[in-house]
Formats: sequence, C-alpha cells, structure tokens
Amino acid sequence: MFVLVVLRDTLKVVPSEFTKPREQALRDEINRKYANRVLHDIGLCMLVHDLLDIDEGYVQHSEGWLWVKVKFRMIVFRPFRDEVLTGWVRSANAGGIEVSMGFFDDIKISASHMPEGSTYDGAEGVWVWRYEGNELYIDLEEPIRFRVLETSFLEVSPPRPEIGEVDSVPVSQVPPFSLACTIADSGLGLLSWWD
Amino acid sequence: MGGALVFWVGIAICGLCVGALFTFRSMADPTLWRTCAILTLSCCYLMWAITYLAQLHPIIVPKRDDLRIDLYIRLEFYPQRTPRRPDMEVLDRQEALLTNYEVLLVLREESDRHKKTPQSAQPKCPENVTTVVFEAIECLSGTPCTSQSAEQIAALKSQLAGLELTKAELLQIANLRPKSLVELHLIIEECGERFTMEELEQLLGLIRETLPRDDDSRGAEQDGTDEGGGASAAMDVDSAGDGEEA
Repeated sequence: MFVLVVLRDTLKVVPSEFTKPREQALRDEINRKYANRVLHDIGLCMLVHDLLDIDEGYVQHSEGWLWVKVKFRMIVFRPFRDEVLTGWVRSANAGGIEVSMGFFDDIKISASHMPEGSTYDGAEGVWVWRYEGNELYIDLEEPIRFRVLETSFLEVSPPRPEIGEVDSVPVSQVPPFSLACTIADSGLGLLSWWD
Repeated sequence: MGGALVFWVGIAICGLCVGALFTFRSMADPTLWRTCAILTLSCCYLMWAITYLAQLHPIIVPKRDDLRIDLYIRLEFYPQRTPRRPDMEVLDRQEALLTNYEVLLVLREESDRHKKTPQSAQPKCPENVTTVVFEAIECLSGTPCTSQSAEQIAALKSQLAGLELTKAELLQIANLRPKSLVELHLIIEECGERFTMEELEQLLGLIRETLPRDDDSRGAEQDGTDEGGGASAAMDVDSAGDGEEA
C-alpha cells in the first residue's frame, strides 16, 4: 500500500519557526507542502518519514526567511498492481461501484470486473451477485476486499471556481490519481462473504 | 591601470623631491626654493592620487532605478547565489515498501505531537495534514496492523524466510494477515503450483503464531463449519474462473 519515495526540495523556514529545532521545523514545512496531495506519477503523499540530508541554508537577498535544501523520504500511498486492499463501498451505479478507503476515494470497480453473474439492481441501487442460487447484495458501507488492476495518473490543472459565482467551491472533474480494481476472483468481494 | 599606478607615481614624486634637494644648490635662498618645490609636488600628488582612487573604487555607486537590485549587484561583493530556486526532484521513486504497521507508527507519532503542543503556542496545524492523519489512522485502525509490533514483523520475516515468497507477498501477508486458504490464494501468485496444501496450512499456522490477534479464538470456533464451505466455494469459483480464462 505504502512506499517510501526519496525527494529533494528547497524549503523555507520563516523566522517565527526559528525557535523550533531545525529538523522539526523542516518536517512541518514538508508536511504543510505535501501532505494529502497527489504528485504526478508518484502517488498520494501522506507524511514525511525522515530527513536524510539538510544543508546550512541561505537567505535570499531582499527576502526575510531561510531557504534550506533538504533530501527526505516521504510516505506515499501507491498500491502496486495485483495488490489486495480493503475499503468500503461508497456508491454504486450501472457502470460499477466506487470504493473508498477513508483517506483515498478514487477507487473504481467497473461493471466488467464484477464477479461472474452479478447484475445491477436499479430499483435498490445496489449490485447483486447471484451465485449458486444465493443472492448476495453488495450493500453500501460494507467492507470490501478488492485487487488493484491499474493505477492511473492524469495531468490536471488546479481546480478553478466557476466564473461569475463567488461562493462556488472549485470542483475538479478528473481525479489526478485513480485506481481501477476488480472483485472478480475468489476471495474478493465483501468480507462477510468469505469469513 | 589599477591601483598600482598610485604607488608608481608616488615613487616618481619621491624621486623628483630628492632631485629638488640637489637642483637649487646654486640659488640665493636654497631652503626656500626646496621647501616650495617639495610642498608643491606633494600637494599636487595627493590631489591627483585621491581623485584617481575615488574614481577607481567609488563608495557611492550610480544605480538604475528600473532594474531589480539583485540582478546587477556585482558578484564579488555577494556570495554566488542564483535567484532561481531548483524545483523539487524525485531521487528514488520507490526506495522501499512499507508495512501498514510502520505507517501507523508515524501517523500516531504525528497525531500525538499535534495533541501535545498547545494550540495557542503556534499557528493552527494546516488542514491537509490533520485530514490525512485523521483519516489514515481511522482506515488503518480497522486493519490487523493495530496489534502488530516490530518484533512480530521481524519474527514473521525470519519464519517465512525458508519459503520462496516475494517481497510483495510478504508485505501483503503482514498487512492483511490471511486467516484462510482463500486469502492465501489471493495473495500468493500461482499458489496451487508453488505450495502443497500442507505447506499452506503450515503457513497459516505460522501466521497465526507470529501475528496473534484477539479474534483468533472466535475464528477458530467457526473454522470447523466455515472452512469446509469456504474451501469448496473457492474450488468451484476457481474452476469457473479457469474455464473463463482458458
């Protein structure tokens, strides 16, 4: 699920943070810049793991803070192909179901990757797996085990609010990092089926 | 020409002064003439030298007011720092795989640190950090990694060293803690070909030993009834799946 990625970046330490030990101030700055953000082709950054190398830092002419070049390791959420993960069902429609893991939501299981013999019940809004005469419902909010088929990264520009509307929340249409998964193998699907 | 010229001219003027000492010997009042000559020579030299040096290293420099100051300040007065900062560099896209347990440790540490520092002492923690810490801890709290420890994972690694499992499979065993054969078949690729049934049972036992959990006793009671049903369901779906792939 999680990997360690080595990054190098130049971060600023503002004077109000000079009282903190330098390492702690840098970790806070790294977290402020990267936590919960997707880096293209890397994954969803969680927190900094540790700092490998810090240089002395310099003050840029006409600026009032310290620039420090840091080499650090970041914990990144990037599942590998064929990894088995657990989450819970967030929503379902005719195209498939969407699964969420709390901190990461863009997990899709398309209709072609559902177990053999499952159909979408439009009336109830859930998928049903008909197996050996049993009707197994894939209800919402149920914990589900799935296998990752593909991780896709898309270059997206930052979300913008709509023109003319002051209060609208900027909504990005396409997720920059999404997983395409399957529950078609034995052992996958709702946890309650296999316990 | 440079600053050395001042010294050479100074030496020349000295030479002229010494010359003046000998030139006026035949005059009526040699001391007066000598004083006059040497005084004139030194005053003129000083006036020239000061003007020359002031133009060689001016203290007050003319500046243009339509340019940024850091782009034309002479580099010999400032250490070489380019105004442009380098962008973020990725040095290693995947240095290591982390178990959920290790990540949970870091998350908990960060969460404890937030709780300990008084909110008034420093600015509020940025929203993205608190969101990711809270949600990730919540997600991982529902997984088997909450009861794990570094010793358990080390023990698991050493116990399973004999079997030929890939790093990815070891990682998933630690993260998912499979309790049944079905789960093992999911995690281990080509499970049926690489391991026999007894080896898999042994593996399950090893996992249960090295990563103990409270819900094991509850699971054991149901094992007798469910294991048979689960295993046969696995076989049926497996054969159906194989038929589809072939």
